[in-house]
Amino acid sequence: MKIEIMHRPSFAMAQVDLADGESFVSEGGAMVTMTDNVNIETSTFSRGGGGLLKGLKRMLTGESFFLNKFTARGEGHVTFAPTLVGDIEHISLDGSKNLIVQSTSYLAGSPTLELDTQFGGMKGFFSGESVFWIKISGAGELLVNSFGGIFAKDIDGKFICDTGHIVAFEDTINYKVKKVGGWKATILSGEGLVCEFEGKGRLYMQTHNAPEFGKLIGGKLPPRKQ
Amino acid sequence: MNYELTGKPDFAMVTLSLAAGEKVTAEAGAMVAMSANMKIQTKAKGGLLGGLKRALVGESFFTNDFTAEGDAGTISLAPSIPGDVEAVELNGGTMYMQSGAYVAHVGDINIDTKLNLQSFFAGEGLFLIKLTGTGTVFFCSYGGLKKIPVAGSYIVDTTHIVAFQDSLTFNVQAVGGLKATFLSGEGLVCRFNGQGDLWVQTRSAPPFAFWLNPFRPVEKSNN
Repeated sequence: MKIEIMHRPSFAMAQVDLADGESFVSEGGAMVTMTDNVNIETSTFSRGGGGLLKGLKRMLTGESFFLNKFTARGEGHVTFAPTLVGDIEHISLDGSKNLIVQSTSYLAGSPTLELDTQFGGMKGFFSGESVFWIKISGAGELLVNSFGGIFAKDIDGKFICDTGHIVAFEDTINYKVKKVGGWKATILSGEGLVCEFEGKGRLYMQTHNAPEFGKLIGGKLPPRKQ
Repeated sequence: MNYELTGKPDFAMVTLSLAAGEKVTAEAGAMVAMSANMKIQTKAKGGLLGGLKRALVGESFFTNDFTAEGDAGTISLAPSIPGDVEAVELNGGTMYMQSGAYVAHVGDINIDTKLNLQSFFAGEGLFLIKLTGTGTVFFCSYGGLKKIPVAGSYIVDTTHIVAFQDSLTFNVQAVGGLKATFLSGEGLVCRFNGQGDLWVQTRSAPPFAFWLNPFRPVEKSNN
């Protein structure tokens, strides 16, 4: 398997070259092109898919309910791209650490990776911001996408990131969702809720905040019917 | 006519230098800036019927002819969406383009609209325009533009198709079995066959619009 990311950083697209019999899994709708010897299987229960219950949990997080598994017969390739403008990062997981990925940042990965969802704490849940995570374990290749640019920081101690700017982090870091300051700052600062990380591990962040952008443009559109 | 492409690949724009009397035809709304001696004439492309067909597939009804009058002149043209712009030369041949990818052309080129009923009813945007003749065509992508030399068979999500040469045949089809077609989120794909160039874009507008939809305000019911 070979992964090449092109058109970085603004409109990134990943090409995954597959050998005979190799597979790659993606979120629904991410496929751009593929060679005609690639077979698509839509499922909820491949090893990476995690069964119906986990599929339902994925629906709760706003991620696609279904994952697509692409398998090549002979040499082939599939290209993947996210919906929004921005970059793609290729992360190799060796199974020693799990990665917690913000639900909309998951693009595609090896079928050996296990996907599981978990809530990001009650505070996050009731805030109206989509602070949900997908826990990714096992060894394999992972592609995450960012809204805007992506940048990483190796944390050792405490660090704060706005909830809308988190792409992924290693689960060796503890996190809690909290207010940025007092109530005044929380409501008036425009910073809303932040994530306080503590521990040692890598954090991936994105330069732009998708829900903020959605509110900015969507708010100017004609109303939709309920 | 000379042209220069600037701002590639994310915010591409084409600037044409026209000799006195030379003309460029451009998509409505594509003009960014021009010299003062450029004269604009608005036309329903391909006559009234052609214009109506273009309106039906979501293309603008009108195109604009810009002519350098009395002296040489320059004009800059850009698409409405961020991304790349490329030029291709047609020498009596034909090429197809996703409606919306057309930016402008210079020369003796006929534009016709092809309706693909299958994609029309599926609500997918495979509406093609057919360009035939001799001249230079400028087209655009949403996001990155990737040229793929097809030899054999190749599959592309319909919303990511930008343009292709007519040496390629194509058919729109479901992505896999019934389950994959309805649940995969991939919708319809286009299978190209033969030998020729194909251009795809790394983003597509319909999923972006779909993503934006929940952020719209909600209309309060009257009762």
